[in-house]
Parts: sequence; structure tokens; C-alpha cells
Amino acid sequence: MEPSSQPQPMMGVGSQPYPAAAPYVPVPGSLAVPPGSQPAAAFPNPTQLSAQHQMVYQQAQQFHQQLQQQQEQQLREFWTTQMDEIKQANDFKIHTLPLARIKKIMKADEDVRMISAEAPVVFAKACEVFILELTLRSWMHTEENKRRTLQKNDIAAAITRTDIYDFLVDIIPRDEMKEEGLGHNPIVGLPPAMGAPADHGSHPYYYVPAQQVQGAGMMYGGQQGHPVTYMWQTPQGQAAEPPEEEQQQSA
Amino acid sequence: MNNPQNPKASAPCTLPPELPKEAVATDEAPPPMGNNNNTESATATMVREQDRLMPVANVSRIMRQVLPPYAKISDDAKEVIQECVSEFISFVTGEANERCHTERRKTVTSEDIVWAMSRLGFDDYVAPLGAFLQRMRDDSDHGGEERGGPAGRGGSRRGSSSLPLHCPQQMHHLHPAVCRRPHQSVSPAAGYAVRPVPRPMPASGYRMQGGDHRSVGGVAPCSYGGALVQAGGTQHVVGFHDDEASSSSENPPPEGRAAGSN
Repeated sequence: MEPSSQPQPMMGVGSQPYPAAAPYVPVPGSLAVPPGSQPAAAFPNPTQLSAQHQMVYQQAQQFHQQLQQQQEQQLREFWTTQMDEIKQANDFKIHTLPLARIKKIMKADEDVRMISAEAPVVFAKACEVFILELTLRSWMHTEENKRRTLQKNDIAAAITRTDIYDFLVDIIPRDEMKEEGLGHNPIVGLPPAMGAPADHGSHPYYYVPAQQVQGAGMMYGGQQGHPVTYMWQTPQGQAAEPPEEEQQQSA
Repeated sequence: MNNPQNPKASAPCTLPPELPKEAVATDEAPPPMGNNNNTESATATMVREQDRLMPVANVSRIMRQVLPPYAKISDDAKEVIQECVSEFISFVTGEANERCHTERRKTVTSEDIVWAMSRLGFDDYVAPLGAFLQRMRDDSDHGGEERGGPAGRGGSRRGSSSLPLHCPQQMHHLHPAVCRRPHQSVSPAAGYAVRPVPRPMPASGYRMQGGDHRSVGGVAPCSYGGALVQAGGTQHVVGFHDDEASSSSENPPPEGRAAGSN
């Protein structure tokens, strides 16, 4: 959708010369100048050019705001629908996801000892809602690009834009995020930050040290993780630059 | 247009649990915790690809529920969603399990799951899941009674009673995320600090002290914590290392927050 917003402003710019010419009609002397030499006419219009740029910018801004409002409306309707569906649900024995596999994934964490019978059932519902919300947010990006096929980079965009999906950042390859960053103004601030990791070799591993260092800092502040101090030496050595990236992002 | 991005940029990233597992795999040498490490790596190896993910057919069916009829889903998109769901389960389970440890319980309950989601920023999920839980129990009171023991039953009631408190909160998730961000920025890292404490026997004292932080320790990858404990076991704590680490740390704000929370 945003790409389409560009042609429209261009058309607007095309129509601008007419209102610009109107102010010159009262002055007969200047009236003769524009048709004679267009370059000469262009020079005396710096203020009008900036005005045109402002109009284009405002139109783009309004378009983006409308798009954002539409998307927020879609999400509100989504959550209302979810609550309604739960209230109308009749059979709780039909699960959209296999409980045994959910339990197996939960058990992959060795710290997890026992799991109540209800937990996988609740997780099945939670995962269903999670898939629906993530898919909806991804589809918004698909529509913005005027496509009808949900792609990997759409999911990457949804993960990048949504705070609660931060834990999924490492699942999306760096390339997908770079592609996403290049394509959208709302994420203009990110390309420089993501560019640095790419320079380091575009490996997810290089993204982790920054987080580890942050965690290490918290640990030292708490002075409770003494036994693990030695382990943090190595990541810190490797993560000399990522902390700066973190600061840039927070800035 | 930059407004939506600023909160994102300022939000500190949570730590991923996957890579640390790889780290554990490479740390098989440490003898003191060798058994646990071998068990973990063996378990990780034994978990087959198809067992690690939700079935693609189920995932695709759910995705189509929210998409228009003419929408198509690429295969790589389906695979990514499969990965995201498994990550979501591990992420929430870790947080829920930390709460169990804090409260000296061994069984992860559905209340722990819902609590963990609220803790991790999935506030919009609390009301629907609360309603889901309530309806599920109304639908099978007898089954519920059979499953839970006395303590479990009490916990269930308490949990269910607390859930309605969240029902009125239908706020857009961005606002809770913004409000929660300062706390979250401290919690995950604090969890990291607390993660290795529960494992070694001599550190039982730390467990008591770190009770508050341990509740969010789930954010930290458990397997990595195991590796850290191994290092702790083989490498005795020396003031030199601690000082060096402190001096090399380049995150003054997080340290300040950690100190404040302590």
C-alpha cells in the first residue's frame, strides 16, 4: 500500500503547477516570463517547492496514520472475536494442536518436572491464538506490499514491529530483517543497527553476545552470579561493539 | 511514522534459549556436571525434527482462519510459524516453571501458564484464556476434581479467582508493553543472574535471596544455565575475575537497575 501512496503524491505534484501559475496572473509582467522560459520560472519557486514537499509529506503521514488505525481496528476485532469464540465453545475435547507434542516441547526443558493435565490444553488454545495473531500481523505486511502470498519476510516484519515477539528475533534470519528494514519507513531507525551485525558476518550468533553482555551486566550488578563470572569473559571479549549497537537502538 | 519504531528500538531484547543449548552441546567436557550435560545433549539429539514442531497441517489450518480466502501461504512462512510456536511454548513454559520453583511446587499448572504469559507481555491472552479455563472447568467439574489433589485444587481455585481481575483489562497490548518495559528490562537479566543458583547444593542460601528474580529466570535459557553452573563447578570464584568483569561491563544502566531491584 505504501508504494501506491507514492504515485498519488506524484500526481498531486503534477497538478501543483496550475495553482502555482494562478498567483502570477495578476502581474502582467511576470505572466510573460513563465511561458517563455520554464527554467527561469523554476528558480523563483523555491518556497512553493518546499510547500509541495510539505504537502507530499503530510499526505504520506496521513496515509500512514490511517493505515495504522485500520490495523489497530483489525487487531481489536481479532481479540473480540477470540473472546466470543471461547464463550460459545461447546466441546473442549477437540484440540487444534496435539497435546502430546505440546507436552513433549514443554518437557524439553529439563527443569520442568511435572505438568498438570490442564496445562497442555491451555497451551493448545494459547498457541492457536498466538498463531492467529502472528498470522494477522504478518498479513498486514503482505497487504502493505500489495501481495497475496504470505511470505517469510512478512513474518519477520511482524516480529520486528511487535514488542511481545522479541523472543522470536533469533528465529528470523538476518537477511529477512534487512529486507524488511529496507522496505519500510517506520523501521528506518533499524537498518543502521542491523547493518552493523551484517558487517560482522550476518550471523545470528553475533546478535546474541550483545544480549549476553546485557545479562552479564545485570548479573554483576546483582552480585549473585559469581560462579558464572568466568563464563562471561569470553562473550564480552567478542561483544566489544554490540553493546554500542544496543545503546544506539535505545537512543 | 517513526513513533511506532521508537518503543521497539528502546525495548531491550530478551535472550534466546536456542543458541545456549548449542553452547551446552559444546561443553560436554566438564566432568562435575558431565552427567546432566550428557543427558541434556542426548535429550536434545533424541528430539526429532517432527517432534520438535507443531504439525504443519494444523498450523496451516489455523493460519487460514484469520486470512482472506484468496490468501496464499508460502511453505517457508509455514515453517517459520512452526518454529515460532515451539519457541512460544518453551518461552512461556520456562517462565511458568520458574514460578513453580519460587513457590516450591513441582507441577506446572494452567494458572502458571496464564500467569507466565501476563508476565511476558501477552496481556491480551489473559482474558481469553481465563474464560477458556473457566468454561473448561464448568464443562467437566468431575474431571477437574479427579485430576487435582488437595494442594493442586486449592491452587486452581486461587488461580481461577485471580484471573477475572484481568478480564476488564482489554487494553491494547502496546500500552501494557510500554508500562511493562522498564520492569522487563530488569527482569530477564536478573533472571540470568539467578539462573545457575538453584543447581549447586552449597548455593541454597542464594536461592532464598534470589526468590524475586527467579520468577523471571525462565527467560534465561536453562541449558545455558547448566553450562554456567558447570563452569562455576570447575572454576572457583575469584575476586580478580569479578573485578575484571565489573570493569569490562559496558551497561551501567542495567547494573543500576539490578542494584535498585536488589
